[in-house]
Amino acid sequence: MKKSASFLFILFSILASCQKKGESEQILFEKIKPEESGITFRNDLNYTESVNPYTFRNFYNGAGVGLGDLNNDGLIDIVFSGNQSPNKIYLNQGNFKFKDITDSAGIISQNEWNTGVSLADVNQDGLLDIYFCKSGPLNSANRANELYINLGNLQFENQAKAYGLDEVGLSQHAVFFDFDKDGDLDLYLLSNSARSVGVFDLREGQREIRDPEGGNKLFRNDGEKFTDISEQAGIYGSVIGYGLGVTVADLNEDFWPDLYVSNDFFERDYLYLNNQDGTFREVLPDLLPEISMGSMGADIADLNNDGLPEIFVTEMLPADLARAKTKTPFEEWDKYQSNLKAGYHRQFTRNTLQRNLGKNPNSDLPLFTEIARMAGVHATDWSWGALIFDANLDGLKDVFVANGIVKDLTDFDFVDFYMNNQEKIEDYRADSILVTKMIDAFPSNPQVNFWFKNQGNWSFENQAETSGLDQATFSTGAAYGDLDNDGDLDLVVNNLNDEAGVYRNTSIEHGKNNFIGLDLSGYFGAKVRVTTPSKIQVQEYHPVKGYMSSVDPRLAFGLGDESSIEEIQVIWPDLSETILKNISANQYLKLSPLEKELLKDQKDLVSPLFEELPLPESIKHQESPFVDFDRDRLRFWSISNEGPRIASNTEADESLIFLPGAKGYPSQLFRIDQAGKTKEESERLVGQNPEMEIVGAAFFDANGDGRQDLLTWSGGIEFPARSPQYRDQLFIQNEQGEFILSEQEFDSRPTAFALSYDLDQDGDEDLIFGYRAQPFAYGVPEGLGIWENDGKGNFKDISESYGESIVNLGMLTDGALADLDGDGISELIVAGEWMAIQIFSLDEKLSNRTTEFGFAESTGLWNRLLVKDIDRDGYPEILAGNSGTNSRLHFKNHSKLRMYINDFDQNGSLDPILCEFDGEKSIPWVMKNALLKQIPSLRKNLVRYSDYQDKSMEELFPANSLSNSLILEAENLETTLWKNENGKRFTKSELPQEVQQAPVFAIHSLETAAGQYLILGGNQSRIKPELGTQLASYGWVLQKDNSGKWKAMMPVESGMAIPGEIRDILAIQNNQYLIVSKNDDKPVLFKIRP
Amino acid sequence: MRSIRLLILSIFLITVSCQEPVDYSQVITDGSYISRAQDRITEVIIHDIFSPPVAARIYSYSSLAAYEVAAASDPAYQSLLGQLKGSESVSFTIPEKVYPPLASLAAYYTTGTALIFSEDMVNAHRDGIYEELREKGIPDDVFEASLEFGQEVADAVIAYSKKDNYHESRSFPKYTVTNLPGTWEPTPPAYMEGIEPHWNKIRTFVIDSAAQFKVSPPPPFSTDPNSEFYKLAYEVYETVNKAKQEELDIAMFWDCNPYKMNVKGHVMFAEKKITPGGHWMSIAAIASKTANADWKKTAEALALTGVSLHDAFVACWDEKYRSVLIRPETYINQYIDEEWLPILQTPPFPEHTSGHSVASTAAAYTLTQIFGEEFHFVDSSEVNYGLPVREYDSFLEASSEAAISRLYGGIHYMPAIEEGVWQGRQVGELIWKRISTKPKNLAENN
Repeated sequence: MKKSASFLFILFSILASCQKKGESEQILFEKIKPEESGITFRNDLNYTESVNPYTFRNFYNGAGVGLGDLNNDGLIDIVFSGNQSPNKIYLNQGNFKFKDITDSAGIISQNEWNTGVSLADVNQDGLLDIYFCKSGPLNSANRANELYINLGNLQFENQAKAYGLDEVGLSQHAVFFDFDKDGDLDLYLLSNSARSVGVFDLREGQREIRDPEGGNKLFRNDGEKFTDISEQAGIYGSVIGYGLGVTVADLNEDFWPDLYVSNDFFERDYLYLNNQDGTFREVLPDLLPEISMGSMGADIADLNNDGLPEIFVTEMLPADLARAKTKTPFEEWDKYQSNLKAGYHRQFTRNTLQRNLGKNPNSDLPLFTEIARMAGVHATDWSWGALIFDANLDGLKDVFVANGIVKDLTDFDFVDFYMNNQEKIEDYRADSILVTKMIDAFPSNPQVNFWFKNQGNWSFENQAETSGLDQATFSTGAAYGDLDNDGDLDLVVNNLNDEAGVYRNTSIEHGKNNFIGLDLSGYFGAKVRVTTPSKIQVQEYHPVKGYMSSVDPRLAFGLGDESSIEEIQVIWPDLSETILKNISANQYLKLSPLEKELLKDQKDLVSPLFEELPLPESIKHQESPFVDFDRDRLRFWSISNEGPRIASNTEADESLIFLPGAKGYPSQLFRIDQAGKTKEESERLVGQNPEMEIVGAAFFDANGDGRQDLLTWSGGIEFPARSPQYRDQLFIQNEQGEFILSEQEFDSRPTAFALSYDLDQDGDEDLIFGYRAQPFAYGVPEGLGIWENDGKGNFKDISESYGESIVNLGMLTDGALADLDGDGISELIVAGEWMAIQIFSLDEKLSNRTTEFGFAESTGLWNRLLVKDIDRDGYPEILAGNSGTNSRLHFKNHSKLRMYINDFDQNGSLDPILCEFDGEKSIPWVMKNALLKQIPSLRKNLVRYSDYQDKSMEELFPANSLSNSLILEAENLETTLWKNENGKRFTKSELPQEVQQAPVFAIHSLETAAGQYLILGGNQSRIKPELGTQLASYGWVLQKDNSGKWKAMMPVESGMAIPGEIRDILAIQNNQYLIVSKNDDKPVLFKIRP
Repeated sequence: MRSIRLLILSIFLITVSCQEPVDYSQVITDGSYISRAQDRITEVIIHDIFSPPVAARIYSYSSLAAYEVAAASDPAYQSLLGQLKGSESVSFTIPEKVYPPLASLAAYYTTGTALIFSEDMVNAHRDGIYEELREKGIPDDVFEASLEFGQEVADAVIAYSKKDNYHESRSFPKYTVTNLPGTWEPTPPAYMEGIEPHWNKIRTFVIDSAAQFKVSPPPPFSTDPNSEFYKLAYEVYETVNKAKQEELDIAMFWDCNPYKMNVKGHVMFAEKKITPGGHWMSIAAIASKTANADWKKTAEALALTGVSLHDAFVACWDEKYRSVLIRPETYINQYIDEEWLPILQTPPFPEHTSGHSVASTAAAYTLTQIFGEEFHFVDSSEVNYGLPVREYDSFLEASSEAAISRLYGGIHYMPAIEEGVWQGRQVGELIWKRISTKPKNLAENN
């Protein structure tokens, strides 16, 4: 239904200035000086012996900025809240001139500790009211939150008590939103618990107990008064709620406002979905596999213009490694495990960016993947405010982060060494100046804020330094708003111990990009879709957002160079809609639901490619509890949870599946019939030893009797070298269909893969084994084993006859056989961790042809190979699964990863040291404490953390020690598809960035009548908290788009949304079914849409 | 001419008078210098954050080196090298010009410095002491010869220390936390990993093996309020809840937590104190001074106390990682009162037996043999760390108090204390029986 212009009230229309300036001189944000703007607000803090970060934990948490038009003159005014400084209201007089009207407006805030400032028309009289949150030391005066009702004529009166909102606590922020869609604004009050941290942490069940003294609260607007309905609405309000941020958005596409609450310290964040009946359900652990630890600010908005909002949460990880090495406490593995066990989820020290993938095909819940590390927005130091807005009006929303902590409270050297000065301490204690003296001694380093330009495709670049945001400050709350009504969004930042930052956005002046601004008449929760020729943009209207702040109560859309808008669709909170067609850009429109249409259900249901089928409960993989890091302190990720790879044998429309069992658990056999029904038949396996760590298997006819026999191989690294538990085994199938353990003795080494092939062309299947690692010697290269079949299923080790060419290849993970050059004879392709892809001819010497095919510089952390003619030109491609770029290890510039392996302290055990190598120096990733626990002798030169922060391997160890080290390199982290160019060379072809979000451990190529698909799965949960788990894949299904490029299907299309760690993917029974194995979990069986 | 001769003569005379030997033999008589050196080593141990068992190892080898010089300088004493496990007897010949007490001090500094990290902190202090001694008249050549001999003895002791498996053990696997009920798990607030899980693989000085004096295991774990285990935990709970001032004072006095982490939000700072071994080494020095012992007897007291402490820790740690028992704090929070806090911060290793009980008893037994059963002393070891002095009439009175202090502090159950005292006594007795600082005939005459 088209809307005519009569419903359209044009508030004002602005012709954007078209004078283009020289591009080189463009600075996005121009700082306006206080003397020019009249904004002299400073949030100054003075600590004393009684009020300081020790006695009041939130001392340096800062305060907010509220933007809104207080007198309806069309100009956005500014409200600052102050901690020890009084709150200020600045009236916008146009042209970036402001007037302090605090006193005349009746705003009184002496001796108060103000934090959040929320602007909304609470009483619906057409005038914006102001709600101030209060915090401050518990014994201080004037701690009740204030609701200043706008009386008109710029007069305000605190009516918090009358409205029932005069809460006393450590309030941080309050968001107004209409959670029950009854047309008035309700309130979520975010508070920070008064409970001390560090004593009662990590206890189970604390979350459920309400704090009688405070806690987060939900207030329902009942007209005259607000009613606390927290408990009945399902809102947590415990003493472990250390809330620092709250953001409202519709996360599950049901047009009801949901909530994201970021919690500091050990408590996890909360994600509340609106039940549409006055209550919420908290579902974070089901939706977000990994989150920020000390979560601070947050914002929620759509970053890739797919209409689905992402969640961005700030934390404290410094951008450079040196600062992290002196200031960032990472959890130890044991502590992290107990956190998990006690219900505190997977939390890591870094910002997180939760990409919204839309609905989970298996439930009504949305799916998210955490990709901050890949996007490069994970480390912005001690960060408070987070704002997502399109600063340069190019049609992609950017990310601004306000950061800085006045005192480096976590400086390790300070923590460890200040107390050594016992004498001074006693003196200070006697004079009652101990705490102030101690705080004096803390280092103080102001930081430059971050402005990440969104470059599309999840690529962000910090351009703060070149965009006018290059001042080093301690910034906390921040808000964006169009202060001069020119169409671009200006920025106001509340700084500690400094003047407030007021920045004029110059995008419009530079005249390149267009905008459209919408005033939605205060209908919080409305959703707007703006369609231009090249893209569709969506925003939701919730102006109380950002850290302790409120942004411009209008929505602004950047349009890039597009000056016409095909359609603007507004979906109002009551699910009615307003549609405007063919609107010209560069104007503000005021819209309200005066006349509207009920929203039509436009759901176009397509049945997904895969449909999950049930499997018996008994079929399950369980990993052994072995922890790699208990043995090898210096390592960062586990290699003992890489199984199981499944084997399948299809006969007469039925499949027999072998699922390997980890140490302590037997392997399983089960049959899947034509109808997809599964039946366990493990009793057919005779003679297996459950104490082995079986990681893979293959069916093949070993003895030429026409029956498929079973080869199993064992991996892991938990047993001593050469232990019998590592033995690869052969099970011969007898006439009754039983698999009987044969007497064949294979090698006892951790095995990654085995391939059968008639190497000597004598009509039987010989075996090629690839070995994974040497126990107790991580990094030391392994090689291949070649076993010749005598035709009766007896195998003989003939590896030695191949000489040097098959030893010391690396830590192998996978192998494949395929005729790469089209000569009719297969080549052997092997991959591994810390090595290049290697290619061998299957000649008598297994000649190495890696360089010839162009793979000499392909070092990586390869996990898996698929060698197959994907483009159907007769020559097989190589698709290799790597660890991906969603990692702190993701290379910057031209650096690469290095691993130095040596017994540096000559004590009989190898020390693997992971480094970033920039071409000249290798900087270790390991934190000082972990390094010194392994190599205590280094401590003599590394007494302080600052001694270690910049040290390279060259500075840490003598030259001879480095020159006789084994140095491994990885220059690629991306999962890579190499196209085979007529059997002569290989060229990299593009894969969608989704496959780089997690390590790839399983790859399958599927062709059905409907099309061709690549399916990739992986993830790794056993990575130390320094780097963090990599769980950002639910299994990706790729298909080709119209232009022939591989593109990831969203889960709702593919039907695949598998949480956890996928280790193998296999289509069975002529592509009727797909089976996916996972580490430490049940496999998943799908029916494939024909 | 005559006047010139006179001049030459007078110059000669002056020269001679300058070269006239000064009697420096009284510059070092008692143990005050080695006590000062030990205080410095203690400060560095605290600074470098060595855990209690490792600290005991540092004290033992350092004071052994000092003692070996004493033994070489006086036939009334005999070398411990050759008597201690894995050591070979060395007969040191004291070269001319060596001033033995200075050589002994030098041996102490050299050995101690080799075992700690912050060498500069020791060196600065040592140089100050040497300067003071030079000013008191020890001639340069004597000084040089003494330092050289001190170095020779220290080298022998350091070489001996290197074969005790400490170095290798730095790469041994860390303790893997299991989820079995009743087993130890990391404790608040820092949740540090279990320290030194392989300390039982460190060579002992005297006892046959780490497991020679196996204590009774703790009672079976149970969460049943009628079980013995529950009652023991409840005893800790109640003791803390009803603690009297005297008990609190005792708990604090013997806290000896080398690394107490204070956490307030994101603000953290570490408080560091003397280790339990350091406390008893300090008592050994105080006792020597109280008894007016000379430098040799002081070195003897320190060496034997150090040896006792080291073996005590090895024996204790063997049991700790055998029984891997849950700490009272964890148990009480899980099964009795989740808000409960002990008075002392729970140290990062399993509960059974109490290290304080074992080490204190072993050291006290040894000191009793050296200085006698009734021995009044004023323990001022903790004054530098802001605590008052306490007085005792015997070493065993002090060690009993140290042992029970762990119950008052809320970090040990009673059996860990009782069994620990027994274990420490066995260690002390065996050491006194097996090794001797006196040659046989002399020892008999004593």
